[in-house]
Amino acid sequence: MKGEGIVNVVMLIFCGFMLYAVERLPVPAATDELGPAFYPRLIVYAIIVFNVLQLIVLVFTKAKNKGGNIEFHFGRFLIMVVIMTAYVFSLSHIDYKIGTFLLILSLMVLLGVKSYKLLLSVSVLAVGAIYLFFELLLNVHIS
Amino acid sequence: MKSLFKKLAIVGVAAMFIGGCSSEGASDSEKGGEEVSFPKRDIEIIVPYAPGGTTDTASRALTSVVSEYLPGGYNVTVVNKEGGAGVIGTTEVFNAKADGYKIGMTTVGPMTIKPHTDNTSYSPDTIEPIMQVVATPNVLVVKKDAPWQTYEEWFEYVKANPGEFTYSTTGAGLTQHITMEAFSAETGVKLKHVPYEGGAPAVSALLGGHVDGAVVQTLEAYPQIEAGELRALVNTGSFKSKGYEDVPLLSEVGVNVASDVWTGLIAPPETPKEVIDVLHESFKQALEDPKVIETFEKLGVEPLYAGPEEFGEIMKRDYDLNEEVLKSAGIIQ
Amino acid sequence: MIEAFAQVFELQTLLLVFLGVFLGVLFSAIPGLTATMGIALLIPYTFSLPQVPALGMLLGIYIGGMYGGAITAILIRTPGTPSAAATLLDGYPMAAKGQAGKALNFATIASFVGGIISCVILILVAPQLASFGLKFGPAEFFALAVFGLSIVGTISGKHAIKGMVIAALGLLIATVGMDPIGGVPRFTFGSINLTSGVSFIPALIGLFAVSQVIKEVEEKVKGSQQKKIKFQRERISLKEHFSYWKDYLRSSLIGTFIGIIPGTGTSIATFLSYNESKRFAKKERKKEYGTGIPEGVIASESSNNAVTGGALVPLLTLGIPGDVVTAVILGGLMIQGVTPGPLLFQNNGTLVNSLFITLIIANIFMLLIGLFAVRFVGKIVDVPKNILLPIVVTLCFIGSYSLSNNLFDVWIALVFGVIGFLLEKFNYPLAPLILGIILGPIIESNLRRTVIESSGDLSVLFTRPISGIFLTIAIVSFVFPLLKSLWNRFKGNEEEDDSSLSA
Repeated sequence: MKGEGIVNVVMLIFCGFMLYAVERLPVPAATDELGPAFYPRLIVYAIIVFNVLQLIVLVFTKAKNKGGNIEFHFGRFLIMVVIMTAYVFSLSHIDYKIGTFLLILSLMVLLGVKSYKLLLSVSVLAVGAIYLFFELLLNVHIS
Repeated sequence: MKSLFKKLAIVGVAAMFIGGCSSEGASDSEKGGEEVSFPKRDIEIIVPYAPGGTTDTASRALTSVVSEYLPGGYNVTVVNKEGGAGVIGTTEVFNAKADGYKIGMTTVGPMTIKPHTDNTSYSPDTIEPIMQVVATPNVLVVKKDAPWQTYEEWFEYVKANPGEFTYSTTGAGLTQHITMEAFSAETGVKLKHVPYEGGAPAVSALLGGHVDGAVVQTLEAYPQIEAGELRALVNTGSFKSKGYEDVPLLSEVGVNVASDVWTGLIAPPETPKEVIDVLHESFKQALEDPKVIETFEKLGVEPLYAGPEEFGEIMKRDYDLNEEVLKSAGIIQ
Repeated sequence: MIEAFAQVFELQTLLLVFLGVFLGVLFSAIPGLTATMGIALLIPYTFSLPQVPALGMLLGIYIGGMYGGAITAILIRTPGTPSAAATLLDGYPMAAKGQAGKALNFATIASFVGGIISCVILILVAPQLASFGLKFGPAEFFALAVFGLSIVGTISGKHAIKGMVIAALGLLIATVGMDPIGGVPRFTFGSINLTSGVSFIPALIGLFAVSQVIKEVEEKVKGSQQKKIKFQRERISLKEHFSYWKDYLRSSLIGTFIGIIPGTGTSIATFLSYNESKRFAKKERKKEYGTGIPEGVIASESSNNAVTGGALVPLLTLGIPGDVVTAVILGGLMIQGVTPGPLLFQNNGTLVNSLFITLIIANIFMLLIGLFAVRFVGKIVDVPKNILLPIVVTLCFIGSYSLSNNLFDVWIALVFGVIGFLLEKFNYPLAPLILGIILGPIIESNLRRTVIESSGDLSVLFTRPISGIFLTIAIVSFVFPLLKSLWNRFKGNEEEDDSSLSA
């Protein structure tokens, strides 16, 4: 699947960025100390090597194109991500009970639950259970 | 793994959980004769470490009894907000509303060291001290079969062999490390510091013979000393804690270095004085409560009270001192 | 000795131990809650209890806590605790094949066996073992961790190079935060939350659970048709269990061994055990690891429970906790006035005996709870996906928050969920990322400590026997399969063995 090369390229760009960040780290004061930059630098190099290796293999491969194309229902994925992001964001602004209720509700709708009874009852029950367990029992307040 | 071995993790969580006594809390309270405007509801105390460390312990021990001393009998709940070696929780206290309903515990690290190294938003000048609760000195320990029986013998050795003696500590940039750097600056000896991630790993490294010595809190080394496996050479703190009476202080052997690991209560800046006074009074009495004293003793922790002004001075003194040491050790510019 | 029995076999003690085990299983099953949290929350209650029941309860939580995570790992591909991370490698595929009951059953028995074997070892040879654990210095830890890393080929399924990229990525992620030796903040981009690094458990939850939920949503999982996995109550005969005796034994021993070494966590034990289990399997069987075979579950679950007995060795004999959980237990012990350490066996001999007996009882309780729970818990699989998934994802988020009361952790879970989803879309294995994140700090801090202690002389790594052995095996197991498969790849050979690459 040649399309996978994209991932490698993305990673290489990422590595470039990381190398830049690594070079900004301080050099060690003591002499026989590796310092904070040594290890991350090593790792980034390793990632670069692996990605290059992968690209080479991709280019020179003699094997037939295994497996079909990657199916990607981008639309649903996006909706899902938006819903979840909105939820996490909402946690800092509105009471988590409301946010959680909405989250469960919207996800169930996204997944195709049609019956209103089910939608409401599950959401309410779930929020109730979470409230009981986390807030009362464990003293975890989501403020 | 990722979570650091809390340097004081040996000491566990004490005393009554809020849940245990909250059932008796506000409902049983008797309103005293006078009308006090503070507190009017439960108070939150932020502990900047994960449950199970000394700071957390001390807090839970205190909060379990403090409702008996607070006007109105309200409770104080412990909320753990760990991260950034204590900075995250302390910052939250700094940013909280100055009404006394959100206070915090803090220790040397986040309050006097981190502001220099990490650009925190707070410093001892801008935070409102309430009181000091606990203080523990650090000790230098070596194995029982080490060739140095006393501090003097050890000192001769390290002076003659710069860069040879390796010692483990609970972490880089923490009090033990800073104290030893100050020691090196004062005496001119060169030691090699090997940081570990907590008191327990530091002690086990010593036991396994991977380092020559360890600088840890008194309570972390105590079981081994009691069993005769380790020997304490010198106490780097300002007082001698129980069980360490015959270990000399650095100040007694001619080195002008003394710092303890203290824990204390703080409040957001601009908190009104009356509020601080109420909190101070209640917690002071809680600290003197026999139950608390008993718990602290079992944990090997010594309560060391200091009032707001004194505590503020201690913080500032360590803050300035640490700035110098950090600079000369090359950790900050 | 008789006294010890008497102390344990009274109603209060037994009840509390049972309660402890139950709570341990419950807490560790819920993603985001850990046994550590459970113990820390319950310690205050133990203060008012007498010694044996109090400690019994804590130990119960510890033991139960090592098992519960497997339940969610198998059923919804979310390890409830890090110790169950390796369980999902084969546990979840088994559930996907309709063998959830069987997988849970194996997990229960394996946990029990691991626990008992490590208890026996603890009871018989505790003091001698302790000194062994101390021999592990920075060089040895480094070597052990690198050895752990070398198993990345094993858990990458068919995509070895991709696995290595992922593992390296994990190592890199682990460097975010304050560096372990100098305390210098790295890659924090100004965020205070990142100074303590990327929180591990939320990342774990996000990577496996949240990504799975996204995947199921994206693949248009509708209602109750499509791939509904019927839960079958399967009984596994004793004979079948016995046929795996070698795996049980080997994994338990590995777990105990790792537990004895202070500073290693259960996750390492489980991954190592999984790897060794595969290494010693018959050739045809090797290929099946990862597709859902009992050996995988056994390897992971016996070793993580075996760590309990092992970790108690340094705790009791030296007063040194082996990991975060034992550190909190240590606190609980001290509150009861018990100071673990070299003098413990002398001063509190009877208590120690009671503790040993309690441990065995706790394991038995865990077995009972497990076998009983399997019947109910498995039904979760029957819940229609479109109701289950929203609840799961919500639990993931709330759980991530409850760890440190920090919203940032929830964001981590979310971000890792998306990353995990995307990675899997492009056929990248996820497990090596966990491996990298766990082992990263160990590798780096110990490498640097070795350098400090030996003043720059790295040959120490090979001249010291223990580290030399581990490193050599690591290098060989790392390089050899890689070269082999690269060679085959270029030659265009399609059929290859376990570590073949795939485009």
